[in-house]
This record gives sequence, structure tokens and C-alpha cells, in this order.
Amino acid sequence: MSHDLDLPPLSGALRAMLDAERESHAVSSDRRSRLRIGVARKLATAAATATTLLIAEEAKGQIDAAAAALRGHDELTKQALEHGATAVRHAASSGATTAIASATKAALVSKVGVVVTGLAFAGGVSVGTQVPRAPVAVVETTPVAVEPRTPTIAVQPTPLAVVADATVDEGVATTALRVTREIARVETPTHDGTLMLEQALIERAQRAIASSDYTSALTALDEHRTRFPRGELVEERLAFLAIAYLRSGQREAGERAAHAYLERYPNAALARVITRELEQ
Amino acid sequence: MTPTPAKPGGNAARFDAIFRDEIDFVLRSLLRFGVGARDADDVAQEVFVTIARKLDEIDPSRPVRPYLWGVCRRMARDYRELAVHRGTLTEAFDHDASSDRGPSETLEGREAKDIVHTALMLLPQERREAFILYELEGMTLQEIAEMENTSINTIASRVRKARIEFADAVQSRKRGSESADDVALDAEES
Repeated sequence: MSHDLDLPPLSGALRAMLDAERESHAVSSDRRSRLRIGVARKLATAAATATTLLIAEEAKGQIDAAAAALRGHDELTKQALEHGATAVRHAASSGATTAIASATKAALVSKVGVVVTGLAFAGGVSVGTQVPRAPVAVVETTPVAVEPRTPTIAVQPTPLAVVADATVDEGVATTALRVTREIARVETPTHDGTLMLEQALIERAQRAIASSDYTSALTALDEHRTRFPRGELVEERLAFLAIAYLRSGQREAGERAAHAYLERYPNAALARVITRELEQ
Repeated sequence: MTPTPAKPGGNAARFDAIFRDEIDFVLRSLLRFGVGARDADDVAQEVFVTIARKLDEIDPSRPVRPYLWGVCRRMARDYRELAVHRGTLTEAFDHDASSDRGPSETLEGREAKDIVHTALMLLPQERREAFILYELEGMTLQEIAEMENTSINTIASRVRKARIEFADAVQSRKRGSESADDVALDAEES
């Protein structure tokens, strides 16, 4: 600690008091474990709240696939992916002979359209505000290219590749899911990886729901119930149980699960999701 | 203060290292920012949720504490605003009831801690933060200056004034405590 700036000295008594204060905040290993589990649960809940997260991730997969397909086409397309439409317009107006093929654009717009639909469908929860940032940015405009009949893609300054990420990166969805998944894999010493196993089952259920495979979802949730009847992620299990039942058309079981969840966790972040599912 | 090194295993390992190394720092920072002891664990979890989400944006070659300090400050401010709004904010720097205090803590030790907390609370915010980081967290003036995006002289000035004010506050609190003891003794004798 430097004292070369004429700091007035602290007396020995004051120094001792500060030392004691510093030492007084020790955190026990039990408390650490509780906090660690709490963080994992909050991340899991945040990710699930945007279940949506699943759809968003799926949408991201679609956009990635579209991007991958486009990457193979030509140099200009590559620029569009890497630098956005500003680069595209610049290339076109500066005499570049290659224009983006209409078919390619149609494919892109179509792919993006899927994302819009997907997110709009999912947007009821929390991604609604993110929708305008990305897909809507792709529009057709008056041609400015060398070939007048070939429309160009005018994208707002955000690069397309980033746009794809933006649909999920700003929301809790994919980032939270990814980090949750990675973090959940790290075993906490006091739980011998139990939380990791719980997380894996819940995640499997989430993924199954996302792909409308409700039988697999219910199987994963049942396995969680069998292995971890009083686990750390019971709340998430009940929530996904209700969702899986309701979406698979098992209305009675779904309502029972949903009401049980809402009664037990009325203020939980997922309560809104469950309520919405019930109303559909 | 050393940066938390990037370790093999990606984000999970990195997050785990940050959690393991900094949970104590986060908890005591929140308490010093005025988060109630009963809520400290919950707010600390929120801090780490934020860290998890922002992990990719945090430069692994830089010390993580300045970032954590900023998150703690923001969350504590939000917490206090919400608590004031709800009317649940009772006392800043309230006792860390959830801390893992051993049975060996004496009444004198507890009193001394209370005096320190009160004296800290009485410092204006900027000086309090500089004082805490320098005196309690062991950061250098240079590190604090970089973290606060100001000059080292500004930080030195804040610490200098804070030292004087802190010493005064402790003394007056001690005098108050002694006169209260005197009153209690008089009451017992009479």
C-alpha cells in the first residue's frame, strides 16, 4: 500500500479496527454452496422464462444454416455476412459486377421470415422487444446496383452475422442457456455433481419441448422426479411438466400441474409463462 | 489485485474461478454499499447472474474486481431505491447477521465492527468508496484511479479526507458509547 501521497497516518487502534472489519466477512463453505446453487437456479429460471429460449435457439440455428448456405455463394454475399449491407451497397455502387442473386435473397428473406415468425410466436414472454432489431432490418429497396433490375438488400447498419446473434444475445435466452449449461456442468464440491445431473435432465426436457417431442420431455421430467424428488430444480421440473402436458393436449393433467405450480410458486418468474400456457 | 486467469475449460471454469475467488468480495462490497444483511445473499446471486451473462464481455486479461465493484454498486443502488420505495430499508450497514461469525466474537469485537460500519456510512459516497477500496480491499491508489476513471491525485485526496473524517467519526462514536455506559452505570448505582 503506497503512502507516497502525503496521506495522514491512521492510528494503530483505527488500523486494528479496520483489520477486524476486513476479517469479519468470511463466508463458510455451506453458504458458498448455497449461493452457488442459487446462481445456477436463477440462471436456469432466466433461461426458461424465455422458453422462447428454445425457440430462439432454434431460430438461431436456422439463421446460422441460412448464413452457412449463403457463405458458399459468392464474395459479395460473404461481405454481406461479414460486414452487413453497407458493404453490399458500397460494392454494388462502386461497380462490382456481382449482385446478390434474387434466389439467394429470397432464401435469406424466407429464412429470416421464419425467425420473425418464431420469435413473434415466442415473443409473448420476453423477446418481444428484440424482434425489431434483427429480422425486420432486412428489406428490399429500390435498386442501386449496376444491374437496375436486381434489387439489393438494404440492411440497417448492423452486420447480418451480428443480427443473427442479436436476436438471442440481447435477450436472456441463448446466452443464459449456454452459460447455464456450461456452469451447470461444473460440479460443486458439496453436491458431487448432483446439480449437474439435475440440470442435464431439465435441459433435456426443455429441448424436447422445443422440438415438440413432449413424450421425451415427460420422460426426462419423470426421471428427474424419480432421481431428485426434492432436488434443487423442482420448480423448473413442475413448470416444464405443466407446459409439456398442456402443449401435448393432455389438458386435464396439464391444468393440474399448472395449478399446482402456480399455487406453489405464485410469484416465480415462470408463473407468467404457465398462466399464458393455461390460457391458450 | 491480480486478474483471474483464463483457464482451460471455457466459460464454466472461468465463471467458477470468479465465483470461488470473489464471492467474499462481492458479499462484503454489497454490505458496505448498504444492502441489508438479510438480502445480501440474494443480491450477490444477482451479481453473479449478471457476471455469467456478461462473461464474454469481461476481458480475462484484466482484473475482474473493478467490474464486480461496478456491478455491486449498481445493484446496491437499485436495491436501495426499491427498498426505499417499498419502505423496507431500515438501516444501512445493518448487522451482517448471515455472516459466518464464530462463537469467539466478543461483544467488544461486535461493538468495534458497528463503530466502523457507522463511521463508514457517515462518509460521503465517493470518499467512502475510495477509503474502502484502499484501506479495506488493499487496492493501490493507481488501481482505484483507473477503476474510477480519474486521477491518482483525486483518489489520494478522497482517501486523505476520508481518513480524517473516519477517525473523527470513530472518536465521536466512541465518546457517545462511553457516555451511554456512564449513564447505564449511574442508573444501576442509583
